[in-house]
Amino acid sequence: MLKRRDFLKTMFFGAAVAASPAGVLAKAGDADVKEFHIKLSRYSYSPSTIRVKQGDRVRLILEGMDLEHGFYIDGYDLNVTVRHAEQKTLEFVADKQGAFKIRCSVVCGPMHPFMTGKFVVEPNQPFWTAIALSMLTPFAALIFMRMLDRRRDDGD
Amino acid sequence: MGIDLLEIKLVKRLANSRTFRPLLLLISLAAFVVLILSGLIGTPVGNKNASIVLVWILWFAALMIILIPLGGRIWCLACPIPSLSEWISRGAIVTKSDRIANLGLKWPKRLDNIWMQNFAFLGVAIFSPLILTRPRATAYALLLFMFLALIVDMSFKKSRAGRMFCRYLCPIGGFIGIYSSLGALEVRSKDKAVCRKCSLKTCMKGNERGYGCPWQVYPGGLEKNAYCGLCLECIKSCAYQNMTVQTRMPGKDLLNKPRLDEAFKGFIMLGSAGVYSAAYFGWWNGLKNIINFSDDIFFASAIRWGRVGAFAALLIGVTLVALPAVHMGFAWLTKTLSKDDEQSLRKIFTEYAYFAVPLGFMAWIGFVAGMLMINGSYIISTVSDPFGFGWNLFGTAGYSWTPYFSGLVPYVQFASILAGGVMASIVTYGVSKKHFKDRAFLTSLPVALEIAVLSALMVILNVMP
Repeated sequence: MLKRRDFLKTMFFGAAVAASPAGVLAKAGDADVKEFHIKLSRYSYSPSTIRVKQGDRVRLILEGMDLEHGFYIDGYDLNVTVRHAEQKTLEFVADKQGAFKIRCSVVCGPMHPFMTGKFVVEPNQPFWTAIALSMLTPFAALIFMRMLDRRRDDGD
Repeated sequence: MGIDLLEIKLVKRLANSRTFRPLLLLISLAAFVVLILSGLIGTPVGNKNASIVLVWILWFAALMIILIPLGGRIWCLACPIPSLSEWISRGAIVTKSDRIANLGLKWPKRLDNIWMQNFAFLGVAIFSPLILTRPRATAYALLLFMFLALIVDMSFKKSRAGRMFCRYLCPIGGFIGIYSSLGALEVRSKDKAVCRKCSLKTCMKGNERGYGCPWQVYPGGLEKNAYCGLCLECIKSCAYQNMTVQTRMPGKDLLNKPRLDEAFKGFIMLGSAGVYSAAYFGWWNGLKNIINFSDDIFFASAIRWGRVGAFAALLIGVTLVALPAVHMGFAWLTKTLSKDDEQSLRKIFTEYAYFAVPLGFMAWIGFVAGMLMINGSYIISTVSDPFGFGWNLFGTAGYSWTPYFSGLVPYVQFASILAGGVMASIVTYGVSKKHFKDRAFLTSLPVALEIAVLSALMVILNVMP
């Protein structure tokens, strides 16, 4: 069961916090980092899912496989572009939990807007909260409608 | 009853004016021509071409987020696609003509439904990976719609000639129609008794002030928005000035005269929203490969038909097979719980299927809102350089891609899905109350579970595990 405070924070304030810039382009060096090697090619990231824990220091080694591509993470507002046969390292602390889309930020072809992946920072509480609410809400709406009906019947 | 908008003098003047709609059409037609030209001769880069950016990002978002919720089918009032056929067949643009040129072919009775629109939408959806990304494909699609409207409107008639393409074929009109039930505007008669006593029926036959309903409906008996194109002809032609445009409670007429073709439209739209979310903005590289129909930016030379087939199978499988099959199971459970042998399984299937209308609509709102927040900045650069020729009309051509509040996108999409779930449950409870008054709550539970599962699936696609 989610704590009420956590729930409110996630639902109402988490997104606002997620909009603040939080990453830096840096050179690798720390041994305690979660490192991923990601290949960028038309129109996908491989691997397409990066999963880390909140607070992890993340090092992403981005390698351009064909044209110039971008690596933009929603919410984290990190943006790096990588040319063909080039490698760049992006290092930052995953301080915001949730799942964030990764998008290409350089027009790389017709399907460019749909070149997406995901960056998941666990525990992905926003997701589980959303699942719980989406499952419960239809039943809650039914109960509310029945209560309204009963009140109306009692009024008659 | 809502607010009678014809009480507002300006609205009344516009509704009765024969110049207002042609003026709107001329403006939209001019924009349409620019968009088609942009698609045909402009840059092949979709993000820099007005035919992609202004149609599939700006117009589509405006349609789903503003026009349908506020005005139902109000887009159909200004849509340029049938304008040429209307003007040519009438031989007039502004003045009321006495003749409508038409070959007089009778529209087949078995096609007097929206099945053609259902399949037309699926056809466009199957080729959407090309249409949404290649300016030329969008231009060809728009030209095809206009050509079909010209042929169909001038060849066929039902009780009279008119907007046959819009009513029976338009892939966009089909979903605007069913979603217009969720709109806050309607054209209705002020007093049904006046219409019952009226022997003139000028709203259907037309008179010197206005045409008989081009949408083939009897305006005096209108009970649902789906087939009223808000053309305002009946406002002009009613001999008793008994027709009006009024605000109303959204969703009020959703369950009026339920039909299987409309039920399937609900599934097609809901399923498409899911497939689009997964294929276009998901994280499965396999799906990304499938929707990449061609590496050629001009698309004509090298379409991978195997991928087209796979995407078609996915779309059709989800919308016409999986969703209806799952719903049939829940409908059967509802029938079992109702212990009522009078209601057929087909009727229960059809009426409860209307839950998919608000759920699908809200899923689409979430989808287009996300697209607007992420890719809306292309609008700013494209208005200054609609053809991608290097112009800078308003000084914004250099505006770079800027996602707005990207961290909020999943929250906006989640809120939409949640609202859709609530609205879908209200629809479900309404159907249960209509048929199984004493067991309304119990008989709503199976479809509520269906709504919960489908909402959760949409959450998985948008908020992401």
